[in-house]
Amino acid sequence: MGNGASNDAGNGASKTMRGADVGEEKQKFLEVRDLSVRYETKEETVYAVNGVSFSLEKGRTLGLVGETGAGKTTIARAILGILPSPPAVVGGGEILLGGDDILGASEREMHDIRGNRVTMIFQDPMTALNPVMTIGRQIEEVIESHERVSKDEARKRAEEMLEMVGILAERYSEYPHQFSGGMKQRVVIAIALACNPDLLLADEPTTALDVTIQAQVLDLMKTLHKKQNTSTILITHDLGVVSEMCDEVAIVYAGEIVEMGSLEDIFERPAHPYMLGLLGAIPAIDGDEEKLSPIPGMTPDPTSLPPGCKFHPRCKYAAEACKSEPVGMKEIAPGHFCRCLNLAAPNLAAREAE
Amino acid sequence: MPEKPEKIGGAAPRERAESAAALYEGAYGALEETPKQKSQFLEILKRMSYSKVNVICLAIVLFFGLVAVLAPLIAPYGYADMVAQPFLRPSAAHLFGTDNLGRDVLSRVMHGAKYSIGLGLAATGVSLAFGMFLGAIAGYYGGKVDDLLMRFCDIIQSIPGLLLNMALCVAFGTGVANTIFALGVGGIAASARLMRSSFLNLRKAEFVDAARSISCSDARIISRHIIPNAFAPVLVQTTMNIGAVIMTAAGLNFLGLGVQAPRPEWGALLSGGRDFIRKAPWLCIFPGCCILVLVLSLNLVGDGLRDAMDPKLKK
Amino acid sequence: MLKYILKRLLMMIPVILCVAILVFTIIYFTPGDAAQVVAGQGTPAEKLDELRESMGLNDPYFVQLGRYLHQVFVKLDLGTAMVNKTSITSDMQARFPYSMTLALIGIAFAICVGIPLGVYSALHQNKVGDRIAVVVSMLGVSVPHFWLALMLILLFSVKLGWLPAYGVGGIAYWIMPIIANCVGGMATTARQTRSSMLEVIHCDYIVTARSKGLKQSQIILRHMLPNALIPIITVTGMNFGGMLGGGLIIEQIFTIPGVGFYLTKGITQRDYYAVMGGVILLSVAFSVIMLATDLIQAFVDPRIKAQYAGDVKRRRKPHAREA
Repeated sequence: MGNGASNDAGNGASKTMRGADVGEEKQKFLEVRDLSVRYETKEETVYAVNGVSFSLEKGRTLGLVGETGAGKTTIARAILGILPSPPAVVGGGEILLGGDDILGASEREMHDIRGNRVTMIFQDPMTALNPVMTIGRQIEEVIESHERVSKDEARKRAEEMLEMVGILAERYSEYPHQFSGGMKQRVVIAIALACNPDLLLADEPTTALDVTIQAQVLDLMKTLHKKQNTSTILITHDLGVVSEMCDEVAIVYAGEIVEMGSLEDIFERPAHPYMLGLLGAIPAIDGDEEKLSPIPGMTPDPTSLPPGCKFHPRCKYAAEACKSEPVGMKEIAPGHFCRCLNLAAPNLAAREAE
Repeated sequence: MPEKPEKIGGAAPRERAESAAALYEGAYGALEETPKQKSQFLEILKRMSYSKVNVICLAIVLFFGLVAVLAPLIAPYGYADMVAQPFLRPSAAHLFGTDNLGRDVLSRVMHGAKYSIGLGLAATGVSLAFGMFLGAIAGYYGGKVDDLLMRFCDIIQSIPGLLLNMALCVAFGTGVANTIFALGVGGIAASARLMRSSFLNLRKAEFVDAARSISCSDARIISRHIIPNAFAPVLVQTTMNIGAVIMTAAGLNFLGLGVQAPRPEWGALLSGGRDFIRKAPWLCIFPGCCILVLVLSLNLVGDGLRDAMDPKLKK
Repeated sequence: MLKYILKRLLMMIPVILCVAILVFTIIYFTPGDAAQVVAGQGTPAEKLDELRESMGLNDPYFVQLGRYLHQVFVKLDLGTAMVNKTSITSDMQARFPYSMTLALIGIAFAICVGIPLGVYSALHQNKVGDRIAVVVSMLGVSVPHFWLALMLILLFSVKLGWLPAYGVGGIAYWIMPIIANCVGGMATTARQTRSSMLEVIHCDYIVTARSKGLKQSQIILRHMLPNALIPIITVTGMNFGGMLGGGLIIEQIFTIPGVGFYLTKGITQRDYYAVMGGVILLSVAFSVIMLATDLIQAFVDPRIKAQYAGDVKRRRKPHAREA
């Protein structure tokens, strides 16, 4: 394993060089500014991501939290440049990786970035691996296409990666159908980490797994994160996973980030009514609530989003102003942002609840 | 296969991944449901009508059908009438020209439609009736019966298609009814297999489990849930095959098997015109064009039908 | 794997045996007098009776069947043609290469043209190129190949005089028969390739492959095509059967002395033995090809191979009442 790290030391160095070019800002190496993505078909347009901005420092883990359909995966795919186009259309914005705008990068430049500087772990390990290629070959492939190594060398590296994620190197020549879901996800993680990426996008990496396996995979990711110091964006709808894995959290609702801050900010001092609602929908182990309080209503239809605050139809604090005016992000405390006009009300309510 | 827990809303991830529209994170994760036959049929027709190609092709097929039915009334001459000089070029009087015996080719083609389409339909009907019956038996009883029937299908299908039809044609002899059976018997194996597999799939389908869970009787499950749903795909598949059957029929007639002269089946017309291809190419061109246009339209309608029935495209 | 191949080869024997029985039975119950065919028209009745006796035509069905099977499978002799009195086995030896050449070159063309066309189509779904390819392949599926053959003759032999209309000889003689015979196969290959590529294109592992930063060509060749290949192989196997059978008419039109030509001549002459021999031979060839496609599929898809290696005979679906 240590071997694996030293092997791409040269490569890693060149990456940091790239980062160093931007001077002081090198710490904040991923910045997404005002990203908009929509899916256009003949019949309708789905507004998936609407002006999302966030940034991530080296080595930190950001949790993107939201319901199914909120646009989390679209954000991740946009960063990686693998939006299915058509129907996806990038409406605008910038994605800066180490200072370079990768949203406008050519396909050729993206080949170097994908799998090398930015990689992704997918939701469903059952379908994320090519069923007719050995798992070893699938790992080897990434290494081969990004680093100048001999075939034997690549194979050795791939075997090391397997060992690293807890799979015997002897299983190199086996096919995905011979592995269980959790093991497949380990292979996917090995593929994602094979080139020691700067940024790892984990799209609901444990959703499709059994609960016990989930814990194992999360532990593995944590260990590897510590070892490789890779910045991570973790996409999930599971607040439990977020509290365990993340340093920072962004809450996504209907293609917008509605609240963003450190883990403590979000969990201890939630400000947005939606986040409050999410927390209200979790049973506390020590609590003695008789009833959970789910958020009423449904996520808005992404083809016709409501004007004003996207959450107002479901919000119990909604005022008239919420229904028409677009709502901007406000910094309510250092590093804690919230998109709500009526910040006082939920906080009051939250305190009342306590 | 482990169930995928999905905590906040939405359908299972796999369904999502299937269509581009569904990439929007399961916003359209459609749930499989027991289809309601009638409304579904109308829905399919409606969806088919969105495409101009489908409408045109359907019109062409109907046109050929009408010509076939009305041939005795609307054809200028009878198919065996020698009405003019032989080998007249296509002209206003004889749109498709005349053949070596001075028969009007247009009239022969029109009468031929009856034979070609009739053969295609009837043979498909024979394959369907026997195939579905055998397939249902195999699917229902399973075990030894299933094995036996499927091995028999293996044997039938290990003879190249046209060859089998040809051998059957030789055995059954010539004539319309015999040709229908020769063509139909050849197709039994394929439709039996289809019926069997859709029977087996349905047995495991969740709505059948659901029906069982509310204690529907076996008879009710089979009659109300399995048969209607098994029937539709087999029917569609087989219908889509009519074009191919018409082509095979023409091929057999071209070889001189099947329907005999002077009956103007299109393949037989081609076969008759073949000897005069240097002198009177129109004898070959027109019947062949008719086969091509009809089969093309049938295939395109079949494609449209399949697309319209594809649940992945359902909105 | 080797064990599996052997097993499959052994399993082929009963199938071919059954094909022979089936063909024999069909022919046996065909109205017509074999003795008449052998002796020719105008033979006196006594002579016919004698001939019938000597040919064993008066024996019961099972005796005749047994004798025929013994002759074909033990002595490996397809018998003597009734009309020409030649050995069918040696006739076949002379003619089989022509039919195989026609079918094999046809299949090769179908693969070499059909798969790239289908891949192109799928990658440019709903664009102009795809639309054209779809229309062309639909035409290819719908055109009767014997009519196409006639039209080719009309154009290239009668009007332009470029190619010989019939007979065998140099490459020029093969061009039209091969085109006429393989257009349908090409079109079905292209259609199948397009549809199974479209299915694969949206699979998660293609997203994985893209996220690895692979080049488009690598994604197509390593990830898309291998996964799309299984149904394409099946279709190719079926096409081969189609071309062997369809070659029948093509051989007749272009007077290529292959098995098909022999068969059609046998039919018109009511030469039952010749017909039986030809059908059995072509069925054997077809069975071998189908076995080959199964093996190629196992080679391409490890999941299929695993089923074989694990000696799982056939995944039996659970019976309704058990399920």
